Amino acid sequence: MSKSLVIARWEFFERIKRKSFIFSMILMPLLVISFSLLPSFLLNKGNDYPLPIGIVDLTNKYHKQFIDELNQSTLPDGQPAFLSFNLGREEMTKSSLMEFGDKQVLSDFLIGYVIIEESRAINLTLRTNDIFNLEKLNIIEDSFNRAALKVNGEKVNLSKDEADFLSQKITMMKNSYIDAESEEDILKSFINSYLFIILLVTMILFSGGMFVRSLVVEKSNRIIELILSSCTSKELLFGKILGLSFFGLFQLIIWMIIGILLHKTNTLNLLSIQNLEYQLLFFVLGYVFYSAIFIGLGSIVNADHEAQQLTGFLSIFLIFPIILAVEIIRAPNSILAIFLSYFPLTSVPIMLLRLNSTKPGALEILSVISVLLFSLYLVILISSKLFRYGILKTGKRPNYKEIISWLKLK
Amino acid sequence: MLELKNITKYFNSNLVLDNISFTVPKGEIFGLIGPNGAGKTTTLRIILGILTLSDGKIFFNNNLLNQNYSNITGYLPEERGLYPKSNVINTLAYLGQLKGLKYSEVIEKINYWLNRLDMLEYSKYHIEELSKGNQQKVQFISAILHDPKILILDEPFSGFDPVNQSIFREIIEEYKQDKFIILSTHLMDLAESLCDEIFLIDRGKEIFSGKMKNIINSEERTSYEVSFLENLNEEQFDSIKMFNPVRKSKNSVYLKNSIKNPTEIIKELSRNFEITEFKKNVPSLNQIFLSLVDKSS
Repeated sequence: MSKSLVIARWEFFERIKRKSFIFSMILMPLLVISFSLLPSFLLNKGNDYPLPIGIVDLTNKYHKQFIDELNQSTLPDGQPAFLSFNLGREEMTKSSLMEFGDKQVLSDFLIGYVIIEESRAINLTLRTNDIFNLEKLNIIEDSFNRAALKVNGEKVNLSKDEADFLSQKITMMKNSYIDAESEEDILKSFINSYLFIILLVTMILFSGGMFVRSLVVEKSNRIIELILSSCTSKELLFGKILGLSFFGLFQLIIWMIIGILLHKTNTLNLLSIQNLEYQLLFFVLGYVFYSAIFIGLGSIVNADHEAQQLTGFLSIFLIFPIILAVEIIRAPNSILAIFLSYFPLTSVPIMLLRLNSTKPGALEILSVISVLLFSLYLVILISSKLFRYGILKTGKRPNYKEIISWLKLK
Repeated sequence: MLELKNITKYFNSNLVLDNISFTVPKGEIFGLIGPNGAGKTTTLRIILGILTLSDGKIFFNNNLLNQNYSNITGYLPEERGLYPKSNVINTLAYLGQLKGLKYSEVIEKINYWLNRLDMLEYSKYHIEELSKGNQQKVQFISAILHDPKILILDEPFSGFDPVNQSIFREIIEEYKQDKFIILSTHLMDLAESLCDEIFLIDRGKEIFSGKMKNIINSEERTSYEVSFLENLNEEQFDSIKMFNPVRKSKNSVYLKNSIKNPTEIIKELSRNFEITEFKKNVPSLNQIFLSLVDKSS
């Protein structure tokens, strides 16, 4: 067996046998996925029973139509989403109506009540003690918009059909401000991208960090000398990259199995992940790219705290796109998104975000991949030099001059 | 025959090995001796291919020695360390496979050595769970496991207790029969008792080399101590100047080893003095080492 394969096998099995692997690679992604899916779960599954809601129509114009519209919203099992009650009495003042409404809410008869007021514009206020999920709030808002359009449409002699038609248009306009089809789609895109990036970051930081720490151990206890007396530094480097790649692949397979299981139980819809094939490609490229960086920089550190500093430094580039995630999903073709797609250190997470909300042209994807592959080539070249000279260096961390002199050596 | 010819090594612009050459004979223990920072470990790392040469060549049985020969070298580094979280058998199997052994072969050899060193019961232990002495044993096994033709031992007994020292001395003596062994140390007693030939290095330069017996017993380094019944006065001391006296102390004189043989000296001295003791002083390697290093600096 080639010595690189012996090294790769050792690196692989030594890592997967650790208890920390079982925790970080299986339990942690499960936790990440659970937390990522929780909002979506609450959005879809929360309050699966009709909610009693009151209406205080101070205009005395909209309540009938509003109740009609609300009654048309149903839960997945066919029950109405809301049980609506008109609380308005002509003889009562706003304050007494609110006092009455508050009592109903506090005695749990109602989940909340909507106050409709109109001066120059229509104001809608929901008084409640509960936290409504986004979907339910949207239903209330949309139902009222449709009701208002119909009531006011009659005033300007719009037929019911015309009012219905306009309300449809308005709904579409409201939700078409980004490429995605609806708010829910934006959320799905965000969750899917977020999931991919979190998994990538977890995988890179965990396995990269583990790799750097193992290098530190090998350097500090000088076992590296023993290894290098048995193989060349190239064989060692290749074996380590291979071992790390097998390790990454193994994690990916585990996560894919978890993904498929979640898909089968309808917790995660894999088919809703757009451009899955490109996402997987960028995922693998990102892993190899960052692993190569870890190998190069890892070979110049000598202590655990230096390894932690290094991991922290690299994680900035991986976490930065998460901060920008909402903006990138909302405007996936903005100059910032395109620029960061071509910047090697942010390329992969940004592309994972963009691919979930838009499909960049084939030429663009190809150019980004080309830039990434070229950067990968450069990183491997630099890393192999740093590895060759840094691996036997112990004690003081090399300064920039030394590192540059290593890079110049043939 | 392992032959180093005109080895030179620079680290950046620092010259650390200056044109050194030596030959390691088969079946003998070759001592590479020198103070700390002399260039011993650098020389060993060059032989092992861990470091590249700036200039010079290394031959093994008349072939150029390079990394292709890594399977025939065994190395016990000065600074010991193994994978603390891995178990004994896996660690040794990994290191053995890196030396070209097949898995089944390596397991057989591991069991032999663990058994020989009374460590069989520890085979599944993590390295960090072993005592320091047992960790040293595992390290030693890793160097010798694949039956290397060239065995390089850098400060092999550091950290060993006297019992283990004697066990490993025995193994090394037994192992040297048809092998090339280089032992690097700054412990002169160890070198003197174990090495057949030595190469003394200081600041990257050769100071001295040769067979241990010849070095120790060389005539120019031996001296004679003659004790008389009575103390010698200055006049008497002057009368024996023909025997190259170095110094005197009360009733004794120390004579440099001269052309004359001891019997002749005794014969001539006994004509005028009553001799009570005649002793040949052979310097220890440590004394020779100190005097040579002192001279070179």
